[in-house]
Amino acid sequence: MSLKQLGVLTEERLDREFIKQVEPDWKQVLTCFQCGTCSVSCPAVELMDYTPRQLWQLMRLGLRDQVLNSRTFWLCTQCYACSARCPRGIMTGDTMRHLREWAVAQNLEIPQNILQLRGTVNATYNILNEDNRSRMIWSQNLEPLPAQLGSTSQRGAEALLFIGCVSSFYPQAYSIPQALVQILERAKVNYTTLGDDEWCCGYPLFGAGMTEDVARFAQHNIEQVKALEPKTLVTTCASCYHTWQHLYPAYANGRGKFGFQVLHATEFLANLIEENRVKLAKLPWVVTYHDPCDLGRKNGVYDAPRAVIKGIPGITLREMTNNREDAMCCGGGGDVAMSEAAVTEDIAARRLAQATSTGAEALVSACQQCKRTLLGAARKTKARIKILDITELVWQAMEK
Amino acid sequence: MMDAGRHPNIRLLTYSDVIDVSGYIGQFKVKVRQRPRYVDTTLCTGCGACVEACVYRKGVPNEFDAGLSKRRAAYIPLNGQGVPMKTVIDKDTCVWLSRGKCLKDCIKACPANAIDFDQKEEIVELNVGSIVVATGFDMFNPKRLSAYAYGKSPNILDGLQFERMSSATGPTKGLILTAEGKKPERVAIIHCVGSRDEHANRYCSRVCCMYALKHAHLVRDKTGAEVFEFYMDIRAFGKDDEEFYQRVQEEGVYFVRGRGAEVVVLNDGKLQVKAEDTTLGIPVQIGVDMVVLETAMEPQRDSDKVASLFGISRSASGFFQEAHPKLRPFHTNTEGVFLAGTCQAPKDVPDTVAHAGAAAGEVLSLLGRGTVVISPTTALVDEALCSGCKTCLALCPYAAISFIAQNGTGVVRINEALCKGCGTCTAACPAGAITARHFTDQQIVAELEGLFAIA
Repeated sequence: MSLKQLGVLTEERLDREFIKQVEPDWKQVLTCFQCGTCSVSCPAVELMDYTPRQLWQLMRLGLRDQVLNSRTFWLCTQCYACSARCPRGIMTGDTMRHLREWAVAQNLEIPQNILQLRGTVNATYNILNEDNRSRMIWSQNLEPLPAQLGSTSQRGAEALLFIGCVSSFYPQAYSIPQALVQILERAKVNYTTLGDDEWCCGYPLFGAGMTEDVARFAQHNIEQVKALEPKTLVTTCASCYHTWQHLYPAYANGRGKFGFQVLHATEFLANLIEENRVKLAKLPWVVTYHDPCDLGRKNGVYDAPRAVIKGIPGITLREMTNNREDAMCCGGGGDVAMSEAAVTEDIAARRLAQATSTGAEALVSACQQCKRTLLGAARKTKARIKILDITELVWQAMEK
Repeated sequence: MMDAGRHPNIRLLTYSDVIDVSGYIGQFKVKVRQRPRYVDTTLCTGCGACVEACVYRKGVPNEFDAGLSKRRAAYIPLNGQGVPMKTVIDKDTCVWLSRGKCLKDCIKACPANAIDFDQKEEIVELNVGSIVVATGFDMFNPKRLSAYAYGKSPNILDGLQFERMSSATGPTKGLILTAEGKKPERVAIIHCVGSRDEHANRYCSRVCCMYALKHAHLVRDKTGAEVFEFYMDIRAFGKDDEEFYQRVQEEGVYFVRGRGAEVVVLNDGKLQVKAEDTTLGIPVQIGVDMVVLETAMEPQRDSDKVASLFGISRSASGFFQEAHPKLRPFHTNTEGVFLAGTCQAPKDVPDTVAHAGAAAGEVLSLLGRGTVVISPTTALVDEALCSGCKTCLALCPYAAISFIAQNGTGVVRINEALCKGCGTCTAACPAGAITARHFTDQQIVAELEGLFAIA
């Protein structure tokens, strides 16, 4: 975008109320000193019409039409790499989402697929427009089908598995919950699922700026899980985990009081390994680990997955140049995969290149969406690297 | 320092810590712990024979060279230029002192018989009239900001390391070299590392822009390498600073207006700096051989302890708080305790010299006068009314109140040299025995009457 197309800035063009309408934390945005750290940290910047930094400046000047016609905030993968580094501490990722909220609320033109997503999730309770009664389809080719899975809705279980839409319906991700239940069977963990009563967690709607729609999903899922009185809710999906940790407490009776603990599968597995309930055999692989944004930057869970990997005898963990809080997004967040698939593919290919350059034979992640996007990139570029979820890696290493 | 060491009226206590301060202006009692240096300074001539002989050849990172060189357990501080120019034996590194086993070659080597492993710490008590706190600063450790990859490549230096490297007494004798021993072809200089950053320090560290420009000049001058300077604003506000900036521009430094946001160590060990050129709105990725992180000045790590020792407060940034930001910039709220230099805020050399000179001048004027002028607005206790309940004792922020026992009970008394007239005790006294001079109830009521009077 040539900045000259913006024309001359005159006092008549300033919309002084715009930033206050769009961003509750507008005073923070006013403190932006235009350093460009957000732009540098953004995985999608090269595909944006305005860099994030330019967008803040347009917002501050109240150039409403230029902001709302920009694609920039629809290309945000909600990875929060910018927010983690912003020297002014501006929650830039939130602002991107608030712009989406504004566009949705004002009935402005929004990407067609995002609009479709809203209809789909609200009608079918999952992101794939599938019959929600087939939620357990991922377990069907487990041989034998564990008895604990057959009788869902068991009360008072040690762990309730919240499977998540991607693992439930995308065949490439079936193996993630499959690996998890096999680990749990062997570790003699008493577990259950919500079966067909599990609904989408609502995070894709939240990310799309449709925050109001999230309430019924939150209320439904919280009620369902509460009724089963599990000790712990365990999820392999980093996004579901983030939603349970940070969005659901607002909807729970008595803020933050679910009556059960919420753990990501990596945290739950790290505990099992520490308690020696999961016995790991030698696996002489060289692996690298991709921090999912929803698990790492947004929840600070960096050590549990590394502890799980290092718990496998013989394994070598080689870090990518960008890791932990500096990890690069896989491209799969912020609903961008639905609205701008090419952007996701481009980002995933760059992240994959970071992984292959470590010389690792396997790229391990802890998020089903990360696995899906990175697997797509590996297939497309014919990269010779295995793409695994951490649960699959652990299952691979378990003494059989 | 050398002059201070030689002056007949100056007693220099090096390798020492203040451990207790009591009293008040005109009569402070200061307890100083002199750490054992295991060398008798009256005998040591600073010849360095023991340093040569020290068996700890492996060495530990030399503090003075910001870790770029090694020193042994026996060393003369500041690369042989410390004052006094005498050896110190670092007890944590010394094989004899830490492990009890050593050939003690240093003793054999010393021609003056100065080495004394039996030396013990000594407590020195001093009576002084005033105190100047000049404890300096610490350098920001860039490891705290992972995006700069500090510590992941020997060619990523902080400001102080580059400063040492370019110094003639430094580890490379002033040559600017990469860890591979080559002249760099391209160098990145990153401003505002650890300053103007909510994740580190909010304040502008004030000196970095100019020292960064100096570094750019040194690289151009000594190596001819291309220099990329990543900055947000160039704050060249001192005398001749803008002119120097212009000169560095003329020397052909590439100025990129955008924060150096990420340093990447590539798999082959090469470095890459990422930024947005915000004037053009384009991403910048420059491959370089050396990165200099222009790090911020920070308060000394133990400044909280030092502050409570001397009864001074700290500002939000952690530096010591001056009594007034404009009118009393080197005073503290404790009479007789003054600040000099970067312990108060980041400063460059001329500002530090001016600040320290002013503090010294104030001390001299106190000495010359021989008396202390205090503010008339202090608290006054009517001892006939005081019941000795001690309520005020704990409340006084200046520890100006003392209790005098009298016939089974007692009264409190105010030390007017310490009292600041804040009024806390006046308001708290249940017996109404304390008045604030010039702010008595009568005076305040009269003022109010005047305010609300119908004209």
